[in-house]
Amino acid sequence: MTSLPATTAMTERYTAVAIALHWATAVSIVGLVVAGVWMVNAIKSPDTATRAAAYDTYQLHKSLGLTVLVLSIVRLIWRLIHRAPPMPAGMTPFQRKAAHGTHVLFYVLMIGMPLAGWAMVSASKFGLPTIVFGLFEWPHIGWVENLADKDAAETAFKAAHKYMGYGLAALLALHVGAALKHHFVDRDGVLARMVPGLRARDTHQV
Amino acid sequence: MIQSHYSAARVIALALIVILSSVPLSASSASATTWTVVQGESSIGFAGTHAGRAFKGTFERWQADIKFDPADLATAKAKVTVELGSAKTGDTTYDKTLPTIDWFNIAKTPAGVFETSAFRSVGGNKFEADGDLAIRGFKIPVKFAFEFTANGDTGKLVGKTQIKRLDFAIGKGSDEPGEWVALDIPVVVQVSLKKA
Repeated sequence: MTSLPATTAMTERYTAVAIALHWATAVSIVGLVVAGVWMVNAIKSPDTATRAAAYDTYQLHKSLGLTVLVLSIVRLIWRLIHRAPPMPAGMTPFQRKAAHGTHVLFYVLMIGMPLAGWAMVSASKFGLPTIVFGLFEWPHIGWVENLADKDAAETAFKAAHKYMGYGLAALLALHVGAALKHHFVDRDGVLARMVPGLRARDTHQV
Repeated sequence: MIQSHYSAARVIALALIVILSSVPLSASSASATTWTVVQGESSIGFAGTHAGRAFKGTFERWQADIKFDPADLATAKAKVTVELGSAKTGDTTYDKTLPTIDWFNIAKTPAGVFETSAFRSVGGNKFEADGDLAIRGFKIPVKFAFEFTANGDTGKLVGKTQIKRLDFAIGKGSDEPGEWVALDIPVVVQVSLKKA
């Protein structure tokens, strides 16, 4: 079905750095989504222990979110100076565009969402500092902190953060679904490009 | 006549000198004992709850001028000056928030001052002091209940009071309803004293 050179190109992996960054952000993002969904309700709980745990979770969420911000910027720079392995030859132009669009949107959200979170923390009337993993203080965004109407700004950044979160969760489902489809249905080795140790289920070669 | 006028003036002047010089004499001869605080063994602590969790804190820097004799409460006097920026709770998010504009606002008023106006005995070694507590430019009457025990040249004072943080507009902009941070803040004072 496909020619041999194309098959070898398919099994080409992302660089080790790209793979490490992908999985570090992947684990962080899943943790952030789970923590985020839980804590926004738990912080209002009448149970004091739940509320206290939610406060701690907020602090962890902020630290992890900033980690994703930094990692994603590093990752984007890395992506721009390193070629990604080519897509399998069997993909239609629509699939290629969809794959590329998904990845671009991921970068937009992985950078935009923590920025919105950082902005809403900076706009909060509580003025609580962000101590990254309890180690050092991450500053507030000065111009946001000094806005005349911080409450309105906080509401806007909160909404942005929330809807980007929904978008990210949907994108994540699409991304994982597509990866599994490539692996189990198309069997074109796409998943193996990002999963160390995984071999392409390359039945075309046989 | 001139002579006698002159001598009368001398008598009055002499009398005035005696009276005036006896004023500070009588003040210093009163029995109030001046105490100095043994900082290493003394603390001013506060407590409260935030987001469902109890917290405790202390002020690391403060100083007190204390004149106190249980037998002569009329001359007792205390002035405590607390560096509000030295509040430490063990939680960095609290410690960095407390000095800010809506809480202690230390940029504008770095110190909290408690100054007594009257003392009374409430039996045994228990006393009460009336005084004014000034924080953030608000001055509120505060009653301070304490126990005092003297042992030779040393003394021990243990007392407490309760502060309503909104009386001083502390955290008013952030949390006026007390949804997050308790409105009532107990303050506990433990002081080791040495005769000055």
